[in-house]
Amino acid sequence: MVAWMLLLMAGISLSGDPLLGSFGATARDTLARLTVRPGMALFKNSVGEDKVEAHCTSVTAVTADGRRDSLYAPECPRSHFLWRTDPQDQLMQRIAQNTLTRDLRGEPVVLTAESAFHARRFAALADYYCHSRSDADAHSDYAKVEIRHHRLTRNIQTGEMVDRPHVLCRFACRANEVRAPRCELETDPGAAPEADREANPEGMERP
Amino acid sequence: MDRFFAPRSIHALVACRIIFGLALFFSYLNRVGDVSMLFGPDGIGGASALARSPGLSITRALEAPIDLLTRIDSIEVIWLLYGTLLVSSLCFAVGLRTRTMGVIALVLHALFHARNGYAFYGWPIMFKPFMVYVLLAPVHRFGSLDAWLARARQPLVPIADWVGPAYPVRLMQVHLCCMYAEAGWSRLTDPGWLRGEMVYLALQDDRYRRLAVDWTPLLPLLRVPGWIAFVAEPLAPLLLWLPGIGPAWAVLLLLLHMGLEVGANIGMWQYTMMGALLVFLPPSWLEWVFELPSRLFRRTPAAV
Repeated sequence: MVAWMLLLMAGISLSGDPLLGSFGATARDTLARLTVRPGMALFKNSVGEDKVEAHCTSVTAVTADGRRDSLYAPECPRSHFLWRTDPQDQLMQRIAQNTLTRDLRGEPVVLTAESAFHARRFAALADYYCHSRSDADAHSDYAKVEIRHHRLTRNIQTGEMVDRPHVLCRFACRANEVRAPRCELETDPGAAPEADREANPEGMERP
Repeated sequence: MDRFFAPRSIHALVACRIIFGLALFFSYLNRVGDVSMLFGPDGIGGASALARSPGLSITRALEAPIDLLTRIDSIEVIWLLYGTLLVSSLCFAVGLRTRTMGVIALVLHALFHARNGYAFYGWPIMFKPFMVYVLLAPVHRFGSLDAWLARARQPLVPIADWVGPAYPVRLMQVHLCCMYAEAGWSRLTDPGWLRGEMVYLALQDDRYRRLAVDWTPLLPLLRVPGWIAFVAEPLAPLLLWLPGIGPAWAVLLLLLHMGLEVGANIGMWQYTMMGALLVFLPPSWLEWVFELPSRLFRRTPAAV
């Protein structure tokens, strides 16, 4: 009965009534302590006329001697039937793509204390790729990891497709010091990467 | 209130046991090639990463108290737990050592989800309490291997008599309504939903869609299910309880979830919701489904 009442109060609080809302907030806090959520706002805050159709993300790692390994580069947009979600795609979507395009509203990402949680999980993703070297002759981890992202957006009134923005995030692989990737808009996404570009330039915020 | 909590049919929860057990099994089986990356000590946010820097934790605040797998630095132990989860969820579905296996599957699922919530869409969050409600009911007694193996000592209960305490059913019902309230009411002023474009969006978005086709020419038609979803979900917390309308509304929502499952891939969301929606269907409908195997094999429909 207690659980039933907690759920009822948590649900009724959504009606917007201030008094019920305070009771509901208490109920929600109690449920949260049990890692229970009464509901979830799915597909909320949809966009206007412009619909994002594809998020294209790729990961490239660079060894100390400059060799570039493509670690993640799925076809984008897909051209085949998808009977199941690839877990790596899902992980990439929920950490990299959401961070770069939704949670931070598509702006060039400067991960600061305000977005500490985003910075942390993004750094954890990059750190995983830093240490994912599986070559038989590998004696060290990668020197840096680059995460590229762009999105295809369609205006459903005009049918116009837009491919932007192109964001490039760089992450330096260091043993004992972990910093959030620094991301910037790519002005010329097709240009060849600069081999000697500093992987972890100044100005990066700590996660 | 006594009538509300009086013993009642639990056919829906028996069906939930099968659906949820299989959903859990196949969901984790889908991740068999990525266990190390998603949950292992060398995986994202794992024990090795935390040894390099505690700042690399990806555990969300809600699940932090139960994030125990991050502390395990042995991939063999992770694999052992993962295998146990697969076996226990399958045993739960078929009703073998039902309650024990159900509790094991639920606990392990909660631990894996806490370890890396980004390895899933949002369905595990709702799945956990729904699973608890199923475990609270005597689902081991009906339509299970447990009941079949014990038939010499205890005769099988006729399908029409699958009755149990009402509170697990009531908890499932009210929680499902909370889910629809939060999902549905939060969209009422959303421009995309008002224009009926959200089903189109789910089908067209490269992250979710199953078919790699351009649905844009069908957008005018897809607005119809879009508006149906826009109306059906916010009204569900009220209409599902009405005797005459409730079952029809539940069928409408079931069809909606089925359609979304065919067109879009959002983890086990649709199965979680469809299983839970069964608690709003008349027991006689579910009795008919459970009796179907007996009819097909030309046996007496007294028991399964």
